[in-house]
Amino acid sequence: MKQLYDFPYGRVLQRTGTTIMDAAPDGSITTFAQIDATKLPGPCPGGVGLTTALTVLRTG
Amino acid sequence: MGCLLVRDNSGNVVETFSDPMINGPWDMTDSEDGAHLLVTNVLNGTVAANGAVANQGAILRIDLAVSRARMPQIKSITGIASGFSERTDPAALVIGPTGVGLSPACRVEDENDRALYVVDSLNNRIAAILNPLQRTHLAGTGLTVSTGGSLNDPVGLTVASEGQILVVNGNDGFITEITPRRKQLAKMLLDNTGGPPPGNGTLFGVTFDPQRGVLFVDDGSKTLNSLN
Repeated sequence: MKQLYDFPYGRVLQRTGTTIMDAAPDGSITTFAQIDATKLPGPCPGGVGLTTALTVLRTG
Repeated sequence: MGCLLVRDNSGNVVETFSDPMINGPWDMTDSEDGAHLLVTNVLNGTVAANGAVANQGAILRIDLAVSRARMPQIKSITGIASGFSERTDPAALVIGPTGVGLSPACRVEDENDRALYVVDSLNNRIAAILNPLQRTHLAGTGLTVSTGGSLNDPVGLTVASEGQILVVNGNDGFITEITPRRKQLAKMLLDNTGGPPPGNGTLFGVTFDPQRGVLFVDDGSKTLNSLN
């Protein structure tokens, strides 16, 4: 087992986060996205709070 | 309630998917061609139940139009499974169908024999929804792939390249390997802190990368880790 990254934040509950981190194969970690709920291009009823419903489309 | 946010390669939100059928999207996976999203929903009747169990957790398939020329568009949304147990929880906000993973196709270009594995957390079981990419009617809560044994409030799930199902628990720090033939093959303690039992509440997100093995987050130590 190998630790890849130590997040410098407090614990964040499911459905409350707004940040996505990018852990690259070379070991570097960067912020990929910081969601601003006031600047969305469309509706999101109830506001923004991220869950593990996350995937990457290879096309489109 | 809630939506799916579509981001470009730079992380910018370029589109939102919202629909009355999307209600508390909790976990998601996709078909490799990007044409189908498979999403768990945990808010159907959950808040109204006020802490009691509501058996209305649902799995949706969102069929997309994808191309290199334009952003993905929803073609249709189909309910493929329903009746999963869910309830609000003071520590986890909501407990319900969480981890999802798509089995590899047994035969190339034959999508009919695939299964969508779903973590049924409150019933301590792993379910399989058959033919998830084509089915047009509800499968209920699916077939039981595994229950009990090393499972202890399973939350996160991923499928390795050979089809093994890897599940992490919410109530302890164990990961369990389950074969496609439904046998719990092995378990390993990933986090031994806190508790009792050790690792309680530390595991959640898990995924499989062919180059790096099993990647998982540990909420207890706030770390991202790999396991070969």
